[in-house]
Amino acid sequence: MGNSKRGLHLIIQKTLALVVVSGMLASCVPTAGTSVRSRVNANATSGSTTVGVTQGRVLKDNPIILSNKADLDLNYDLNRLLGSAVTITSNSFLQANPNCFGLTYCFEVRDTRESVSALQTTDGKWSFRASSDEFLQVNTFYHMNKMFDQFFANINLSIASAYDAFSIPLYDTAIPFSLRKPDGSFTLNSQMLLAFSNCDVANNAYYDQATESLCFGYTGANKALRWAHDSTIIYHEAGHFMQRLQLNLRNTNQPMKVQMSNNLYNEAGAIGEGLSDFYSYYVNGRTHWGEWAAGHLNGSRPLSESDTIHAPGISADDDGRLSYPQYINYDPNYATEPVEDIHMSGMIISHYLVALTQDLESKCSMTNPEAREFVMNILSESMAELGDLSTTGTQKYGQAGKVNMNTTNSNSYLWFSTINPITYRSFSQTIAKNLLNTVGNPALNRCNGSFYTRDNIESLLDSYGLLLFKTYNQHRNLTGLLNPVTLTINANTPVTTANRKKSVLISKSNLILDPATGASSAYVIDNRVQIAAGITQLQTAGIIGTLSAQTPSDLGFNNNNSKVSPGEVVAIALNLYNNSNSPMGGIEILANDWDHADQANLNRPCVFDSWPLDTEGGSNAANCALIGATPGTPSLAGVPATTGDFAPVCFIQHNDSTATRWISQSEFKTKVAIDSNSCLDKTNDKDCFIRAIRGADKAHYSKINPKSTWGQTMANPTTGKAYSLDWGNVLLFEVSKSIPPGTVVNCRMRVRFTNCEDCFHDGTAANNDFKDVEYNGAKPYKIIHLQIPITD
Amino acid sequence: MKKTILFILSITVALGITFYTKNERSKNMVQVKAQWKTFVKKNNSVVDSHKTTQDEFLAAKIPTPPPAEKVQRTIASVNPYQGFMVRNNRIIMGDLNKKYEDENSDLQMANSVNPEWKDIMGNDLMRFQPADTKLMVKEEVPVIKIVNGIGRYLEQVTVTYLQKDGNRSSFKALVDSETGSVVETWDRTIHEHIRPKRGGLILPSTNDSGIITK
Repeated sequence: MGNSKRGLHLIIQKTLALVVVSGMLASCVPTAGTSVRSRVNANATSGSTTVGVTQGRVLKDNPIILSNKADLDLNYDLNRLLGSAVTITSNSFLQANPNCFGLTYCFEVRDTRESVSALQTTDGKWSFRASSDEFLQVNTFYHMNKMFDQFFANINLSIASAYDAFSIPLYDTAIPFSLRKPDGSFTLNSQMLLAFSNCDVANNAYYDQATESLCFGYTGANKALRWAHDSTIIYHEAGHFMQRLQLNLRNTNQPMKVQMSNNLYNEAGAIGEGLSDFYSYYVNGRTHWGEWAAGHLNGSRPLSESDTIHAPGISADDDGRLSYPQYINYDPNYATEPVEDIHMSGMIISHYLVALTQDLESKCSMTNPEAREFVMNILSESMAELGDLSTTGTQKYGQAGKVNMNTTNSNSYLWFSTINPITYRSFSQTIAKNLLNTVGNPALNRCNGSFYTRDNIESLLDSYGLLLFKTYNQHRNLTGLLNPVTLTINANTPVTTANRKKSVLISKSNLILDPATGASSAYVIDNRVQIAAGITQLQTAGIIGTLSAQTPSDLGFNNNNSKVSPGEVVAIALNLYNNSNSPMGGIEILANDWDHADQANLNRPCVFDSWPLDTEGGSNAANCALIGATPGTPSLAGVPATTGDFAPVCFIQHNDSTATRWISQSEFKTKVAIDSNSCLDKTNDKDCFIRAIRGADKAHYSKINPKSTWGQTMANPTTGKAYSLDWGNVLLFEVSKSIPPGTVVNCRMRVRFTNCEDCFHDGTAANNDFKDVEYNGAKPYKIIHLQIPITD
Repeated sequence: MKKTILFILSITVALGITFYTKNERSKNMVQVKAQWKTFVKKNNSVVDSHKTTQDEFLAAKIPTPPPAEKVQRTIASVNPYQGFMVRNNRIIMGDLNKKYEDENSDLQMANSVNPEWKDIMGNDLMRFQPADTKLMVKEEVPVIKIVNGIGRYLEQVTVTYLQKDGNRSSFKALVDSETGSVVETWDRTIHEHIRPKRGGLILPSTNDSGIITK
């Protein structure tokens, strides 16, 4: 009773307080210019009398384009380039309209990271001098708002064109109908995006996904060139944000999100950069990016072969396209020097997407804006499917286990990020499938009375060297199975072989270790300073996490003898060689745990490539025959490997009284009677003595030329100077200080590359793609055995 | 008379708002405080830690905590549990079986929660960093990841490094609630450096690693 009374009193108190507050609020309608957050000053305003309320003036494109002067001076008065008045916002602050993703505001623009609020107008107008900080914010806001409006209209359009009036999918769309709520907002994001137009970073802009913010920096000693003055930069950075939304369209109930890019070279990152360049074209229809901000650093990028910046020989003809993998290392600003940089490699994708847009204009009688919107729709479809952590993939034929393994075993993020990541192959294959499902389907009439044929799809991809797949893979992991509803076999549409003219597929047997006499198979880097720098860089970027508590913080065991010693952290670089007559692209070296040990028999190594012999400890037991494969009934198709099916890459040689055998690290630990506390991780003896560091357990080479090593491919052709290795080119291993010197370990790495004939599809099974679970085994890879002596 | 009607109307509206707010909060809001902690590398062997100060937020250029009015405006969006399955005030990841939401249902756990997990993680992530590096850790939401019917307590955090030269980088991470070890990372920063600097790894002039291939 007492509690009820107190509750009643509390309610009355709250009510009275609310009445008082309501009264105060009613008299508190914002008055322009009275806020302490007001930031407008007389020096910053420009022509405010000539713009209306809610309006301002902006740089409608970047200064190079507006001035039509490629060599525009940094000190040029940008006020002369401001266009006529445009609507900025009717809000009091630079905050975008609601409903982008159900938040009160989609995004807001602030001056610097130190700013506590968005810019506020004092008179409802947004006109400022081009050199002012306020102008930078307004310019950023205008272009972001323009892009957001266009992008979210596109998502609306995508949903409208994917479903009929009864919300039934018209094709196998990946975009969930439930994405759009009845109030018109989207179930997409839980955090407002912040954009800082005046960041204190030199020669850079960035998208910080963890804090959901964009930063636009400057160039030049006096910060004369602000990156936010270049609208193409704004579109590109905001494009990374859009990509993250697109990749996670099906992950709204997943705490973790997937992304395209990280700091080191990989193909997903390269595709992400190419997409962001394309998103600039998506908004402004221009086929060049970054003339002002990046251009002053010789870093602007074309999006079409017709651009005069390109090297001789590149043209919009089928033979002159920027094709994969020939142009992976091509920088048009330094055309003779090979470079391994995701921004440059991404140009293949941006050029392909622009060419696709133009092809759709031509073959489907679309206007350029219509074609751009259509391509964006295809990108949303493709990325939603590829990024799906719920593993269902699509709406019509989707079911758990279709993509990125199976959610019930929580390996979907691992598959997306490491084991079966997005590559030029998977990306172009999914784009092709979605073209076939939509504009390629005559019944849907998406091509204005015609349809975009398979030959159209395949020929254009092939001109970019991207026809790297044998089927359209409509059914992914469920391929070739009996459909319980239709009682027919789900078959994938094959690619027409005759259409593959430029795209070359190479057998994985051609990826070998350098065969030259005296050449090294692998290098060990154990220099303390270099390794410490690598750990610092990789940890701060979030690529690797914590290391073993056993590894001393001064890396005191690292002795710089280029051998692997107890207690060290070492980088290992494989000296791979392309033994074919065509370039290889997207070479991946995996040192992560995989299914190659016999769990039923002390995790002994299963026999691959005749190693190890059964007399040397190898196992040929039935358990090994099931590795990475789930033959049999349809219900098993998406069944993932269990956690126990992952074994570390390294085994250890053990000499006992009767034989020398290869055994698991846990068995070796027992043999040499070492306590668990002496293991790298005292709670896990599976990799007690040596382990690849999670996150640095994969390495990439962008391209290897025919009959060459990566080092030969990347060397400067004029000077012969070697191209330095980056942290993404090497694997990092931690070695326990408890491992006895003289021990020999065998680490069984797996390698593959993107334009591979037998790494992604199975020639013995109608060229269907391997199932995700098979990537946990040996079949899709070439295995490299490294036998490493531990030397004190 | 007018005043009386207005007063009654105000009371009614205010009562309505009070009850609505109370109900909504009890439905959606589970108390999670965004707790920040800063770790500072003093020298090769000493890492200090303390509750993050306003000066450090400014120095790290982290636009948080937001002004009070922002919290009001986006209150629905800051509920980290919205849309997720929850058990013991922790988001469920992995096997998203509804049965696990029932807190009376059995769930074997592989680890336990160590109240010192954040300190262990902070110290571990700072061990290899140069002196004067700062690490700011924002505790976001606790998690249970269920794999093959076995749960594991994890903590979702946002990690921000602030280096001596002013550079900053952030990412999200899942951390083991017992050992403080980082289990997974995502949402890393995407940069637009023109011709970015490479790691500059130098291969040894002679290779005598002893590594052979089979």
